[in-house]
Amino acid sequence: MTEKTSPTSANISAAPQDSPRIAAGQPAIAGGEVRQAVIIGGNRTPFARSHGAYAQATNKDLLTSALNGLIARFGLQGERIGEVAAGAVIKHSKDFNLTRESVLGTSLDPATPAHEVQIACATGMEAIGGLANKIRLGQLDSAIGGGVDSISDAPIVFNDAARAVLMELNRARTTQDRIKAVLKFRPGHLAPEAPGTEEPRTGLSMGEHQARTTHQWGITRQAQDELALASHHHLAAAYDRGFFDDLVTPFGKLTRDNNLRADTTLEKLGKLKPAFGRFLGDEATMTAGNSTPLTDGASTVLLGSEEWAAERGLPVLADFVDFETGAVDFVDGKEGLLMAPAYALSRLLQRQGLSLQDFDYYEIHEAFAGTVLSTLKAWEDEDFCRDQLGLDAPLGAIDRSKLNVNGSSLAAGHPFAATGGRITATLATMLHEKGPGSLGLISVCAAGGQGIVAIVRGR
Amino acid sequence: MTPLSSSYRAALSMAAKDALVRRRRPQQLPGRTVVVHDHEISAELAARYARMFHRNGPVLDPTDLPSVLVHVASFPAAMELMADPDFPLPLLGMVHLRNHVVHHAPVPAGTPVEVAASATRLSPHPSGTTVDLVVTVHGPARVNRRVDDSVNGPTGGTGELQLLWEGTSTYLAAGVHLPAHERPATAGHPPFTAPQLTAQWRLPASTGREYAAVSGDFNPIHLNPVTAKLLGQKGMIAHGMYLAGRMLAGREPAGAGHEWEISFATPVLLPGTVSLGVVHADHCNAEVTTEVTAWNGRTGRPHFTGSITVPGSGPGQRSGPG
Repeated sequence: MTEKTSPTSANISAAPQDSPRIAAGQPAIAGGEVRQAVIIGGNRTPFARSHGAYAQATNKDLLTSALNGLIARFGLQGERIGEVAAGAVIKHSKDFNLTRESVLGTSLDPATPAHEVQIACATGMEAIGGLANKIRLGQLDSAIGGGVDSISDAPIVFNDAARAVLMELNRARTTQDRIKAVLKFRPGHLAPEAPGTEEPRTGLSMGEHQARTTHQWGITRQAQDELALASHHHLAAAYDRGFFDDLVTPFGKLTRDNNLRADTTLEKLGKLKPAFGRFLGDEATMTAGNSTPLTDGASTVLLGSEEWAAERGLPVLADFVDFETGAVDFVDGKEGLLMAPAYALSRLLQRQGLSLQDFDYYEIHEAFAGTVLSTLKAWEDEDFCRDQLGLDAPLGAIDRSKLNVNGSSLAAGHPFAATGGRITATLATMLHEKGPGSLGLISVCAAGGQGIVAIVRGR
Repeated sequence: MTPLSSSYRAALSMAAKDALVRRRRPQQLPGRTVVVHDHEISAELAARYARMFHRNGPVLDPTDLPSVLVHVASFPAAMELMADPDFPLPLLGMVHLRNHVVHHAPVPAGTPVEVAASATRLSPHPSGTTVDLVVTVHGPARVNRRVDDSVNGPTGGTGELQLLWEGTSTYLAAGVHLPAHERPATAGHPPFTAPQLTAQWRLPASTGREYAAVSGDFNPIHLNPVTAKLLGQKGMIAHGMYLAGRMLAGREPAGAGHEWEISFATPVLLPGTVSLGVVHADHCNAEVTTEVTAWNGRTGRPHFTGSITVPGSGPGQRSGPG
């Protein structure tokens, strides 16, 4: 340890205004001013419907590819990035260091640290938000956040009974013990277990949960199909005008998200049979068309301090202002599984002194069209805002022409952990086009009754 | 305690013998109470029980065992009564209708408890005759726990036994009509309307065998579709108490003091999927009741209804110093 690096106690405890010893430019964590965390850009793979175009690609392949595209776009070869944080919702236990392994497979300086993040579908948002906070505190000057998921690369595991035998076999030290363990194998042990999208505590799939919420909020089939249609048309238009040229790098044979149906119509969507909520009988409204399919893909977002970006001549698209995580009691149906963002938003707006109508763009993740519409309806609902959010007045309606204007998950698909990175980079680009001071809101729901909302400001 | 399997074996041979000699069973319940002293529920059994529900249940507390595990460990005492040649109803073919348990205080593993079983309320039923098997579990009084004086009376020093758990299981001997009783008219079933779906259980074919391995209840109707059909079932069915255990997993309060009930309607065929609706009803006197309804999502027929009432967490109960 040297005198130079060991902090004095005054540096740690005193507030900046009381401490003349703090030099200008001191990190906030050491008593200086909190600074902006800026979004420099993003890169993702096209998203592919699972068991299709990326059937042979692993999580590591996809994340490495998304990182490589980001490195190429911003000339980060050989650069030591402060930290890379990403995750996958469904991954092999052997991929415990998925992000670090991916980083080692790129041209980034191998001294770039990396860690895993996991909060279901909000993984990407948590990765980016956590890194932004470290930049604001001065712990990092640069960071890459993101996520990846591949249903095509999902781990298949032995069931609990088979695992018990295998573990016993592994522990056996004598031949006799090994034989004893092997003799415990039964044919049923060969039945593998694939990961499901069921909530462990209810046994219901996310779609079944949302079907109930959609029904409770009285969201019509027509409204859901219209939202899905808009998502496809908006995404197709964004691709056509080259909006994604700076955001997507081809992977495999894909140059666009292959779930995108530019030519879909309300009529086609209207013909689909309900896929979820069959218990509702004739009142079931959720179809494969207004629900996101299982998808493979990866996304990354480059973050940094203004100084770090300026030193390298990198663009600054937006500030990552703030984010808030919420959770709801969904287990016995007291609240909808995917309604947590509705609660988190109220706290975030209050903290930032903003109203729901202050935003230029709204990016509400389309897990299901019903999720977006239920959330919007809840914010408009006087009873919900009073009884559940404790507000005097409802948060109110939003201008729907500002919602998911370049398409969202219904069209692009939703590789769980990659959605946060897709939305953040997309929104930052839109806000940069809109101009300095423009505001964008992100809302991403997640399994386990959780969700993250975030605010981004254009530069 | 006599293992359940030997009770079943005895009952099977008795049923065969009865059929041969056309023996008539007595018309009254045995007055005796089966008492088992110094019965211990092993921590190993508790661990095996907890593993069945590890995805939903809480972490096992060996000083405060799950209610259904206490049933599993104590019910053989009641089986001893039911398997007796002088029991008025034949054990084989009995249908489990209902269970009601008052779980007064925590039942610990590895501690001697006293189990007592008696039979009461031999009653006519439209489809046969029902009987209540009442099992109580007494254990050493715990000084540091809140003791419900109204139930136990004032508890003194050490050495005294406290009522920890009492369960009433109602069984129906279908087709057995005691001559002394008038046969009641068949009550029309009110049409079943499923409540809102809040959960779903996917029960694999091995469910019955797994529960049998823990409970010792190797009744063939739970083990194999062929033996189940031989015994008159449509197929292999889940143990009623497995369903009760699953219903309670994660819902029993630490420190006990709760009461629960389950009534069975139609059996759950294995493998199968059970639809569930859970509703919480807050009572004004600070108790919280959770109502559980289970049904077959495909046929719309009910499987069971249950309820769990736990002492409330109102002010003065859980908060406060100490």
